[in-house]
Amino acid sequence: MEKIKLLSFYFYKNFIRSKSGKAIFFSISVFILFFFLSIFAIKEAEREFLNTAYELTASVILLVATIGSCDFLCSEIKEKTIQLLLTKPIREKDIIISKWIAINLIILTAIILYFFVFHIFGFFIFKRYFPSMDITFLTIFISSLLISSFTFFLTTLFPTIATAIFIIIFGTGLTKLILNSLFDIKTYNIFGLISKKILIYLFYFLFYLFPSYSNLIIKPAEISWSKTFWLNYVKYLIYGILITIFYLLASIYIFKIKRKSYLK
Amino acid sequence: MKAIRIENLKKTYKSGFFNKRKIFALKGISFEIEEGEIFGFLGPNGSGKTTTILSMLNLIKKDSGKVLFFEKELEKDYKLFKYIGYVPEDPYLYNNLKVFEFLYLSSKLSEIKENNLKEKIDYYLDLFELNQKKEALIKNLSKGQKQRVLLSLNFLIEPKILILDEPFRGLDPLGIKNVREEIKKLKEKGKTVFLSSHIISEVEQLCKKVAIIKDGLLIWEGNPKEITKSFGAFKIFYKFKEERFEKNVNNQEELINLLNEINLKGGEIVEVLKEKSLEDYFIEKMEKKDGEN
Repeated sequence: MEKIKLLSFYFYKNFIRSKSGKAIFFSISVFILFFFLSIFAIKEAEREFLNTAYELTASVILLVATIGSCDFLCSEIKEKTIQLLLTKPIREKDIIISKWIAINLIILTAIILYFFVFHIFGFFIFKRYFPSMDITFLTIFISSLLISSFTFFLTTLFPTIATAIFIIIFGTGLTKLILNSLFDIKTYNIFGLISKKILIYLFYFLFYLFPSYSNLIIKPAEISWSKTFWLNYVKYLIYGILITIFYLLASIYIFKIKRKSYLK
Repeated sequence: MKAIRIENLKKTYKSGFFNKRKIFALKGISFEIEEGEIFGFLGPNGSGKTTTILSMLNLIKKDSGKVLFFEKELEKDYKLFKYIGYVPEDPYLYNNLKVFEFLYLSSKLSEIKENNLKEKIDYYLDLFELNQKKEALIKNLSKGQKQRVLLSLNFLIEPKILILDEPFRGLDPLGIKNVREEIKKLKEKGKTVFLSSHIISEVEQLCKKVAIIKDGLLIWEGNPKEITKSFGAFKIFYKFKEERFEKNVNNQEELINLLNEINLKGGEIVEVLKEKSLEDYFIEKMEKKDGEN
């Protein structure tokens, strides 16, 4: 346990000081800017204020959970620092768990900062507190736990950043792409279709990923204070945590089997 | 007790995408290293030195063979790493950690329980002239400095077995001297050192046992001093009535006696070759074509 604590702390430090880490905390300043502008722009639109806050938080956090988790293992393999860990008396499961804890600590830090920024500005503009957004923050965090363990599972299988990101994006986006293409085929001529396909392949995958993930998150507008909602919400939390554990265990298992192929 | 025992270690790599070709990196090598010994591992580029080390440390999958540390397999007991230190060929470090943080983390992971760990870190940082860089991020260090960080780490944790892969690479003469001294200190403390290096003179100076690997096979193993014995310290070429002879002698006294004898008998000295070093032997072995070894 002591090694997990120590490793998570130093992985966290190492990531925070990296370019990706700095980018995450730069995003918080964008968040602050948005709220600052909202003082002038959306004074009466509470709903719009909430939804934009949700979209901003969800997109940044989900991006961090995906790219960050991917980077956590892939860069270690690419830069061969994994040798350092694999030649120390540490179990494979401790390496994966401490990395998972570190990435989620980063996400938690970002969410806590977002939480304070949101409530300070919310209170300043509307003179009231928005408890529904707290539920959203919590579901974003639970989703990021799930997404990071899912990404770990994929990166242990495909340990290069490019492949892993491609697989994640491809996996989540492909179904939607096929369905959309089937509906669109009659309305485009062949050149239009090809150019659209190229566009889709180049840019749309990324946009497909986040709507797919954002389905995991309960939006502020969907939150009610009924008994049914809370029952469903608890169910959501339990499922989320169970799937997270499943992917985490699967990542540990794959890492154990595949670790010797990482340093070819 | 044997610190390291390797039996018939084999490793092949596959190359190519569709037509996969097998490359035999290790063709079945075996050797033993006694506890407290400094073992030199020599070989030209691509001979299989690093593959041997990576297979030994369970970092890559071997095809067959056994690797035992203190008669135990690493694969079955990860805790053995507590007693093993490793300095890879290239210094792979966490670039966004500070030098002190990295040394502290790695020593803790190696289960160093000493209370004076911080003082020990300071001592080695000072020895390897890194005290000014203690709070610097590793990414801002030069390659040589990174190498020194890794060496400091491995000397401070004092493992029972230290595996060094090209430890002198990127070091200045003072750095090389410090590493040499630290290796000697480890030997005095009864630790085992596995030294893979291109710098033959260092290996010759430090190791009592050396193995030479070529194309995945061990072609020679023994004490570097034995090379001189088996070949003679001097080689004399001389002539008697146009007939050529050659003879090996083991020391200067024998050489003088032989030269006098040849002169007295009316022979002619053609050439006297000086003591053969490990380097000469290594080069000679490497220049031989396959199958001549």
